[in-house]
Amino acid sequence: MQAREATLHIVMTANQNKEKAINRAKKVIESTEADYDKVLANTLAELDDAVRANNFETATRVAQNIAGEASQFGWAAAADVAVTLRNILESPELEMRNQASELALSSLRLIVSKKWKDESSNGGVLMQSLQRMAAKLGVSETPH
Amino acid sequence: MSEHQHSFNSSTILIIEDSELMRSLIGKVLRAFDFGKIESVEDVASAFAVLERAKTDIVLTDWLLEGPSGLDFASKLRRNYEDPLRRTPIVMCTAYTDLARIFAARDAGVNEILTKPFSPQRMYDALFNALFRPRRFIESADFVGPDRRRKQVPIDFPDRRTSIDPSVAI
Repeated sequence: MQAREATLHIVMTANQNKEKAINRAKKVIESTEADYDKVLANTLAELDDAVRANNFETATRVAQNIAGEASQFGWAAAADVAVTLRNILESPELEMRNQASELALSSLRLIVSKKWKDESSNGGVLMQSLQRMAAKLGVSETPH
Repeated sequence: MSEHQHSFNSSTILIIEDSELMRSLIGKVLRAFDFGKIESVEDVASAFAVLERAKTDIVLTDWLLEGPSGLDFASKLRRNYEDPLRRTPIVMCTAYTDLARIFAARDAGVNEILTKPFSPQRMYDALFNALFRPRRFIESADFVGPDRRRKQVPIDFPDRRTSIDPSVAI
């Protein structure tokens, strides 16, 4: 009986500790998520600058960061456009790269300014159109 | 020790993540989980440098990295490194969950896949399972990593899987 109670105590303590840890982590994620729209706007400006300066290495890195971060913070449409943009930036065809990246950047600006976060909103429609166009230009819509 | 007595506070974890924001967020989440030691790097080359110099209990890597990917990391660790390093549990984060990706990660020897957006509960469970409920580690000619079959289904015929080392039973 005592052994059973001791085991029960161990299980309950472990479950309580896990719950506390998860609650602490939830608060961390929520506080980062709350400010993410501002972070995204700043990152987009950095991306814009890099593309305009033809600094494609930096632009690719920033687009990749947006893809990873936006998907974590609920900006699915922005994440998908960022992945498409990253693939566009890696294209060796200069003319196509410039035109398509400008289109992707415009899409991202619209998504951020209108706060079209998920794919069920206008952001999704925009992203699908962009991906169709990118596919016509031979650019993959998924990460490599 | 029962699994309920395990905690992360004596474990060292290595984060491989090229986004500074995500690296910082994951670090804070892992501190909330009470990990004993947290190391973080931006790329695969730096990750191997850390693994070679310090004991690491588990690796949490993003799939999409600048340069070699998290998948490249998993394949290289499982194939090119000796025991016990090659057995280090790997949890991989990805925003893409199509079956081809899941299979590729599994075949590269990844223990657990964490889908973005990840919840703290899901991350906790993935790390706990990889660290404290490990599946059998298989080393055969065409696969090195945790058993890809999660369920132990009884079979009424001999196990046909073979090991590189005939003295090691699978």
